[in-house]
Amino acid sequence: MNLHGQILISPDVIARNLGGETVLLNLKSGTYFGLDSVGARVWNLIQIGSTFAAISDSLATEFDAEPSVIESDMNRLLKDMAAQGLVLLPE
Amino acid sequence: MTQTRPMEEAELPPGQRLCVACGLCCNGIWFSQTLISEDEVVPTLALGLTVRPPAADGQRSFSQPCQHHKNGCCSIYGSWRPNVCSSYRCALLIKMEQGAVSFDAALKTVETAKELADAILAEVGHVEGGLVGEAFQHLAHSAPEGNEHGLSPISRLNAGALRVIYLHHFDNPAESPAAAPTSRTGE
Repeated sequence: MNLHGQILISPDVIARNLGGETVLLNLKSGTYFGLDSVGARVWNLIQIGSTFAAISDSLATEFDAEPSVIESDMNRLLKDMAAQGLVLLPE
Repeated sequence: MTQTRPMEEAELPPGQRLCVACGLCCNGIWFSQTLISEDEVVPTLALGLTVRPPAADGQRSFSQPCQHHKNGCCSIYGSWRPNVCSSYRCALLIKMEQGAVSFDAALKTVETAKELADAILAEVGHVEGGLVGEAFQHLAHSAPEGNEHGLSPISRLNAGALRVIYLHHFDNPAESPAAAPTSRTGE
């Protein structure tokens, strides 16, 4: 994973915040996705143009978890999102 | 002292205030039909409600929206009603009465759900099938890319969001008053 490249939201995806959780719709596949509060926070950080490193740093200050655990979880979440066509990861 | 005037909304217990503010289980947003017993068919017909033919398993029901739900209230509240009309409690109401959710938070959830439903209905008009039930399947998937007859992307997103709110906050499968949504997944 490129730690310092910008993660982009797919142009096919629209999102709605529901007070803590977020619902995503991939218009191309017609598939809905739900993000819990942590996933919604990651989505917010992606929306403002954060990199993998910046998102990990933010989560490390906001949640009581080891940075290595956060990075591992982030890596898995972002790869899942990319596989579902929700985000474009930097080369 | 005997109550000689109608109670103002602010005087109602919180549970009733929430129901008056909501009405989503009566107005066709959550459900397309309300289940009744065979014994209730005749008196339900007498109320002017549309009783559906028996389902494959013999289950009887009447169609929603209920015509007696007016201005957020049941207009036949003091008269005979199908049992489920007085017994059903959604998960949000139960959680509020148990103290797990505050009245203000519950009301906010209701308001969000109604805003989403209103936004969808503003585009599609009347829908058959409850917005989180059969109608959702149509709404959510009616507009694949290139289908000019489908819903706008925002309304499709709103339909998904409304379904998420229903499943996360309102759904009470242990005490279902009505024909449940056809699928419990978001897709």
